[in-house]
Amino acid sequence: MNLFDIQCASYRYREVQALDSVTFSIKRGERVAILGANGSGKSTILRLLDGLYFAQSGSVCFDGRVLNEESLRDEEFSFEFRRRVGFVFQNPDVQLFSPTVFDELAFGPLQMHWPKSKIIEAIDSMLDRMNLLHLKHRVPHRLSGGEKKRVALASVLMLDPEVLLLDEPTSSLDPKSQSQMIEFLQEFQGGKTVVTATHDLEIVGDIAERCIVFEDGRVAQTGTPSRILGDELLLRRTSLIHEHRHMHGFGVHKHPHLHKFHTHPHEPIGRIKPLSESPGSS
Amino acid sequence: MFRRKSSFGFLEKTIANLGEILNHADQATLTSGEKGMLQQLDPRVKVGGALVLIVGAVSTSDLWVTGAVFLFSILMIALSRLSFRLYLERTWLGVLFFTGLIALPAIFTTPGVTIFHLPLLHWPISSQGVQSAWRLLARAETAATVAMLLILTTPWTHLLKSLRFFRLPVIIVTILSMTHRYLFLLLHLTQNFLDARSSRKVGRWSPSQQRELTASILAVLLSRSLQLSEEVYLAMQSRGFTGEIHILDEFCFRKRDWLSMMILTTIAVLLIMLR
Amino acid sequence: MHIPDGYLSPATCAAMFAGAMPFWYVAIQRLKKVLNARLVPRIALLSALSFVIMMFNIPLPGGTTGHAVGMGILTVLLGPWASMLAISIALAIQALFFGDGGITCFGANCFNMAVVGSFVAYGVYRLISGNASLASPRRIVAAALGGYIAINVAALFASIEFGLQPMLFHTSDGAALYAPYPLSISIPAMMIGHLTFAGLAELVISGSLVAYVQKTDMDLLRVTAPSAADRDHEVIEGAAVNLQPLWLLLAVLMVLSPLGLLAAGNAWGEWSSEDFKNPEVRKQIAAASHNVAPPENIPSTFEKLSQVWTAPMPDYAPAFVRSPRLGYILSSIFGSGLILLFCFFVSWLTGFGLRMRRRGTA
Repeated sequence: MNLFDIQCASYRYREVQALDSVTFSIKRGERVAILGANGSGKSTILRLLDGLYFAQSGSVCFDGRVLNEESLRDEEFSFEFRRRVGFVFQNPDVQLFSPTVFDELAFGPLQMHWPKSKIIEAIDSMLDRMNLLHLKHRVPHRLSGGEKKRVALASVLMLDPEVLLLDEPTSSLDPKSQSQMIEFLQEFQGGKTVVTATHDLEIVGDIAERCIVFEDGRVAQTGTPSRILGDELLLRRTSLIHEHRHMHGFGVHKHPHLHKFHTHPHEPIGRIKPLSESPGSS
Repeated sequence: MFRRKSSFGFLEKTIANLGEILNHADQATLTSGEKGMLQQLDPRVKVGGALVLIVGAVSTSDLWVTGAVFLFSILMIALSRLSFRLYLERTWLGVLFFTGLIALPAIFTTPGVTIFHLPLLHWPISSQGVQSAWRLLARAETAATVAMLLILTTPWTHLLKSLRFFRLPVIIVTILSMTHRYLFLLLHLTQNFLDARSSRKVGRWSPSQQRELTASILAVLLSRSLQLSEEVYLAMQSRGFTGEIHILDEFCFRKRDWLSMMILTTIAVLLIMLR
Repeated sequence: MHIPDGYLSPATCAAMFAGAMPFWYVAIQRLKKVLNARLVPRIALLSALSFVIMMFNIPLPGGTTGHAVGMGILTVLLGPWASMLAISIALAIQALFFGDGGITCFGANCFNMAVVGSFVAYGVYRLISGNASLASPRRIVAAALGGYIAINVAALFASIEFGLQPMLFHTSDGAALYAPYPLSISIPAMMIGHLTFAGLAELVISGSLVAYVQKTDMDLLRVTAPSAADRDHEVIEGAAVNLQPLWLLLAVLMVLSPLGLLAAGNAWGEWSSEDFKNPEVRKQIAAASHNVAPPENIPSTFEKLSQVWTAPMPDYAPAFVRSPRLGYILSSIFGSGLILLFCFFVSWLTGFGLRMRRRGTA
């Protein structure tokens, strides 16, 4: 059964048509990557899936129930929905609004009326699991970028959601924090549904079994990571790759920049004279 | 043309202000982590104590009581391993300069018994004027010293939680903590803007350019603030926030807290009796 | 305008706390009742912004700088109640975290800047903006003047609090226990700085930020413009602000303000200018104003002005009007009244101007 059903959903911010009649569905336990350049509507669709924005036309359904202002005003459903669906924002500063890491992790459980002793216990085990124990009483503005992202993830995982929505989980992280993040996400798997919006093609294979490519607020293509990543024309059209000019030795050449490890033939398109060959130096 | 200073001053002054604020915050984080005496106390006791001492120092008409409170704070500074130099730089000189400047003319303007005439100018100095100025300065210095004791020995987050104990509504404590948290974000953002602008500009800023620049920086800050507030709201909502706020109060009163509570009460009673 | 500890007597501090308390209470109740969850982070962020604005040295014409509080822009974006909370919170952080502004004087500081500031800014803004469209340049003028007048009224309150100290709290031989200057010194000393530097800074900030919001996210202005006509698209080009009328108005205002101050000084004891020449009365005045002997030769301009300003307060006024304490209160009411009258005039004037313009284009 489909967990999310999106039917002809559209969303407009003032003058910008962010989503234009989008239709797709996500199965329970599926790992999906939403790919697209900046402004393609991938952040907006995540917000629709989390019931933060509502489709202005068309519909978004979660577990058979339509998400709109009215349904989320139903306290019981909204409580259930918030507990089952977690959202990690792209900007961790937005997510870390509490005075300390401890308070941040306690926020969700407190809204869910957990008993105090259970909250304190759960925080310690979560911090331990995420390697964050030493930061327990740290204030958010004294965390590094990577730490912030991990704390943001931990604060969302506190409620043990069955669906995890991630907006650019690896953007602006150094390579080490990035691979750490991927590891955490892989570890988190286990029958859970994970929807990741990203333009980082390098991580797609690790975090998804299906890709949905967005272009100007519309679904451009759906398919397995290997099929999507192999479709150079599609990637180029949706600005996920661009012509890459760089130097190898003294040769300059061009090839599509895939944002992932790859090999490519080196046929120089021009040569720069090395200094030693310049006239007068011999 | 020696007007360079004034044309650059406005940016640099603001940068200096920001730097000072951030610097102070860093210092407070360091000093509140020391293993001094006041650092070991429960924040509620400290807030209560600071209030008692400040109100005592301010309300008494007997300058000896104000002096006693000042000496007591000096003792606390030493026992809490705070540096006197930091105090001198951050508090005493600042208050001396600010309040001194305000209090000084009072020496001449307050009517009363003339005790001295300023040479050359022949301005009369009255004994009442000297008393008034001295009182103001003594009170301001003492109150600032006590307030700084609280600030330098208590991490902000503890201070916040202790406010809950003093019956501040949850919603206010939440907004207060959020303001403090995003204040640092905005301060760093502002600093980056200003640094970028001041390094890019070589020549003089004309006054209208300065105004335009300031207005544009503040406009960007405003739009960032509004955008952040909207996103923070979404993030809170996503984690179950519906407008009703729940926070975790975890405090335990230990023996030393009870003890200092009793000492404080005694001091308070003494101060009231001395009035 | 941040009053440090030690300047105000505990009695004044307690009174100011008591004055601010009902406003805080109502504001919190309103916030809880509306339960617009969105407001929580918005108040927090704008409060942080107000803190940053207070850090800024705002360059002014003539090469000087001033500090603003941000009451104009906060009130326009949040409404007076939420703005009051936001500014109070910014002041609390300054006092509790940075030791800036006293702890005992917190109530007074909040009363002046948060409560009085927000409400005056709101009143002036609503009065001048009327039901102009959200994109109307009139809203910029309204916000700018709102900020300017608000910070000045707030400063007036602070200076009155200062000035009352030596009168009410002094030793038996006349030495002041707290702030040492009487109203005759504290009001001009405070107001000169605010009518010019701080007021201008507030004016520039409020006006330019409202203009910015009009261009970027006009709907934010709807909070404080319930009756705004939906003519937004029609006037949208007008948002490219013509600041000329604003400066003109400011000039008029600045010319008038010192007059208001002199009036306030005059109303204080209800003396007519002849009284200054009468030695008997001079002695009385000296006693009432705490032994400060009034100058023997009154400046001639003062004499002329006093004729203008004392006219409404004739000699046959009942005796209690001559009590200096009542005089203080009367003078502040008189000053505020003048300012308000001026706002009405400005409102009418701008409204008239716009009507004329529309008629001209129609």
